[in-house]
Amino acid sequence: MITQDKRLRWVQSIGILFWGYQCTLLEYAVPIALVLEARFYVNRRWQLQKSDFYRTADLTSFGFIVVTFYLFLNRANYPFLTTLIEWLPIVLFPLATVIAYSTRDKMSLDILFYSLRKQREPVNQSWNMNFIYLGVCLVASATNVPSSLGEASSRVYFFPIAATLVILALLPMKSARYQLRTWVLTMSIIFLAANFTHQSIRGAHLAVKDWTQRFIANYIRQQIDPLRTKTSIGSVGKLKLSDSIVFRIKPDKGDAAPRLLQEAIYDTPTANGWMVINSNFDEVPHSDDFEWSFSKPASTDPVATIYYEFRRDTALVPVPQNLTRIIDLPAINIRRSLYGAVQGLGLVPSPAYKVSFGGNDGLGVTATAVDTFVPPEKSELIARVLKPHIKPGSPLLTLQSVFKDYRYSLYQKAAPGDALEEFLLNSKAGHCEYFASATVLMLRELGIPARYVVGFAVQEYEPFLDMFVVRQRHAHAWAQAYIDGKWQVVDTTPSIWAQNEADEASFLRPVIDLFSNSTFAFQIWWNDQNIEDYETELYLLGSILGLFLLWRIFTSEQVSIKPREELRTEISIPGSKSPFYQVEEFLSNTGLSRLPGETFSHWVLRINQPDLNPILKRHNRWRFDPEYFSLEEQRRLAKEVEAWLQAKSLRQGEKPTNTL
Amino acid sequence: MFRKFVFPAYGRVIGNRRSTRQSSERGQLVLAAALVCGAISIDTDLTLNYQLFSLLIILLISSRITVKFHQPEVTVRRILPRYASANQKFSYDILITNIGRRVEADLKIVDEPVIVQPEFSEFQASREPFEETRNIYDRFIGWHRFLWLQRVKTGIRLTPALASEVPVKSQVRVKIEAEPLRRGFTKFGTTAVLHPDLLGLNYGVKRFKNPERLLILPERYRISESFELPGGSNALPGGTNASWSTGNSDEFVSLRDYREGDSAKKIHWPSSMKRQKPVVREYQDEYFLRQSLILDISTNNLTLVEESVSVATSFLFRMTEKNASVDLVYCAESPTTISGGSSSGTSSAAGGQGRQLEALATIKPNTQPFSTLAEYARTQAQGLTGCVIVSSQWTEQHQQLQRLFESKGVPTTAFIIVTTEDLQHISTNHCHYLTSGKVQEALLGL
Repeated sequence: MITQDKRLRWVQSIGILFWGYQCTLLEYAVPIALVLEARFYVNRRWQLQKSDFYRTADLTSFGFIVVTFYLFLNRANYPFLTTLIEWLPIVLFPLATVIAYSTRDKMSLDILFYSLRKQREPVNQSWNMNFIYLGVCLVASATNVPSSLGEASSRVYFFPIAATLVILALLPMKSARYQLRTWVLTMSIIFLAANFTHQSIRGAHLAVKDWTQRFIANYIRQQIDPLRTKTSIGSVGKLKLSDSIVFRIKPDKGDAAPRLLQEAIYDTPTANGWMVINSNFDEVPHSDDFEWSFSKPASTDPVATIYYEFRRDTALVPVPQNLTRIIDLPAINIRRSLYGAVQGLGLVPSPAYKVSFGGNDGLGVTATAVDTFVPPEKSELIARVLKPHIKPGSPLLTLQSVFKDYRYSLYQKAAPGDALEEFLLNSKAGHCEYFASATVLMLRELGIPARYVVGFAVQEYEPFLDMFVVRQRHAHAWAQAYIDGKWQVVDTTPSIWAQNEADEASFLRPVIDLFSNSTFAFQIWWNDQNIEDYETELYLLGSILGLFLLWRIFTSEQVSIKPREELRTEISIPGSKSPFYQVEEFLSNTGLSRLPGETFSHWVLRINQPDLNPILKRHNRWRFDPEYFSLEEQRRLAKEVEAWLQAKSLRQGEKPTNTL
Repeated sequence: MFRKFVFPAYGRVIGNRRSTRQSSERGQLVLAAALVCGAISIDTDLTLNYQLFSLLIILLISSRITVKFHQPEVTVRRILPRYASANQKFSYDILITNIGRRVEADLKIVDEPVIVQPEFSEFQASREPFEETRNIYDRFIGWHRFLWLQRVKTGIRLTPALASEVPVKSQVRVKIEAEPLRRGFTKFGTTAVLHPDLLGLNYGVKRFKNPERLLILPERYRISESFELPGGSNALPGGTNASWSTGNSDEFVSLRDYREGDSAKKIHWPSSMKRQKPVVREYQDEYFLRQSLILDISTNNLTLVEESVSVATSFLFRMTEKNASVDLVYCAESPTTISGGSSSGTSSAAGGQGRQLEALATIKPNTQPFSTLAEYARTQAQGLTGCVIVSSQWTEQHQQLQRLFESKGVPTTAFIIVTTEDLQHISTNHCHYLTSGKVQEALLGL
């Protein structure tokens, strides 16, 4: 006979609904709760084999993998881990349902672990799926802090509800060793202690967070700031650059890719970097919802698509220097600085935007007085370096001549004094920031307005994607000079730098790149897909699966079950209504219960209650000679029992003395 | 290398019998849930799992505290049968007496045999049955092989029993299911009484020293009813009516528990009904047969040794059933005879047969050559009515011994256990080949 475990009746369903509410997934939670709760009212069960459980578990695992994959691809839209946990009750639903409607409560470990399925020795470890499912629902419901009632209030109401559910789930398992009131008292204490504990944890976390934030803020201010940049000039040792891919660029067919993409432009040298004097940004006019014009576009302008996911809602947008338009950038607004840095506001994650470029106008406005400023303490040094190379009328040839003997190096050894001076006079080796800073100062010394630009160099073609990839280590700095009425790029860093840095790449790079590029290619394909395009197919597939499910439900082998309470079958026993059973119950409550199989007379003898003997004699006559036991005698027995019970109750507290 | 490193740890994990606490299944669930919640609730801004984590941790801590209260006040006594047979499940009772002033409910009784730890060399040399079906990880770690080996060396597998209620000042019997895994003595050490805490997450463990030992007899095969013992039918010189034990006579000296292989005719039904388990009559027999059972285990193959011992045990029972007085001849350190019947020709199970069974249960393979045993057995031939030789080889020496017995008028049958079926092994009336692994079938087909 198969019995039914009713311990989680209501509790599990409330847990599921609570999860649905917390994670705003009620449209799933309600049907799941209904299906699982219905098992307490349906007495049909599937007679399933181990292989059926295996298949359901495989289906569940498959669902889990699909969900994981889906969330990974859309991790820009959903937080990966928390969403995965929130969706777990949906993923586990098939397995939970099949086990709930099968003839077993427990799930043995081999259902979950494929590697255990082959072994001949039976797997003994098993878990009660109902409790696990409730637990998963509670954990999932805790993963989301719903905003509907405000965060503060959801922190307050979550604990009492969750704790009550856990405590209710534990109640049916209370041992008969303990009285209910002890249990309730202990649970209340536990509830209060846990309440205090979780508030302390939260408080401690907030305090630690506050402290760390202040600590970190003091040390790390390295985000690219359009107003100030800190170079690595002066830092000693080897500059470490990451190989990871920052973005990818695909020029339109036949067009050339931009060689350099600038992020920020600076005009004022500081002790160890550059900053801007005028930090004003101007809004760029929209021509369309997602199109911004910077200068007069020509239809022949080359266009390139830049695949770059913005992680923050306000960020600098890498653009070519001679930008004319930005198309399809999912931003609320775009601003530009006087110098030509482009900043997106209200950016939402989206895989790509387009730029068209090739105009004659640079992004920056005309040169100002600051653009020819050389700090007095550097002026003498720069002039000294320039002097032997000056070619009047041709500043670029002058620079070429200056940097002829300089090498590219990521390594800087420790040296006393000014780092720029060390670079120019002694080491004659450095990375792009040295070259760019020196170039800007030299141009200025020659009387030509110049600025310092940071951005990325586009130089690595990836045949697999037919795109250019830009890595972290392609970050570059160069100079801009105002010559012939427009801003022009002056990049004096030896062109060997690209090769030089590529040689530093890790040997695992090709593998990591392959993975990164494949995911990227898939994601681009995925983004092009529209669920509406597949509507017919999905409906067809859904209805076929639905019909198959119905067919399986009605044709599979089923058995009837009986709830545990109904197991005790009613057999009419003569004398079963005898009041003597009250005596038994009374004595049982005092701990003198009858042993299984012990007759009443043995029992009375064992517990040493001789005054019960006449009552028992009468009871036995009713029990075993019912035909000749009159109503009169029944009444007499009832009276005797009552009298005996009264006598005993009077002496309550005083336990019946007994000996073995 | 790895195994050598972890092996000592295995023994410690299982050998630990000092813990006073044990997690229940739901306790393990709560612990697992607490760990999961703890892991994902590190950032309390993101999730509310830290609230669940606090609750679960407080539950676990409270459970550890409450398990110290309300310890059971009971005594336990184990009631073991006199013998059990290897690979045959049996059950015995544990008597729990409530000596406290409260009803003891929800007790779990775990009887604990003395665990015999395997040596590392044994561990390396042996293979768990069906080990190849386990997964790579389990095979590499070898944990299951260790458990199996430890179980076999310990000799018995016991399932816990539940005592749902022990009323005040009374006794309750619980039934422990036992499965002996090998012959020989099995030692029982302690009996643990597990009592749940208030929350049901942990069990408190109260241990009672309860050392006892139980003799596990070798596995017994059934032998075809039609098989005639050598010299069995024609050696009844008579005098007293033999039907005392085989006919309808009610005369018997004692009753004992049914053992596998006992004839159904010997069951004493009234007592069986009273005790709720089969009980058989034991008779005081009058002996007219005197038979010799020669057991040769001079081989290195342990499986063959076990099967030889089992075959010998089966024949020992068959012979005593047929009222024979049996001399068990075997070679331990030196050749030995154990006589089943006393000089007056009567026996009881507690006497000679008991010693014979004990010898068979505890016999260990030895390196003495068969010639020693043969030499000795030759001197024992006097006055025998029949002889059975059980061996795993059939050399010229064995055949000589058989011929010698036959020449002295002692009909002799040999049972040879061989590893593989072979065309050369053709059974005759006096020489039966039994293939290892199929011994039972062969004995039923005699």
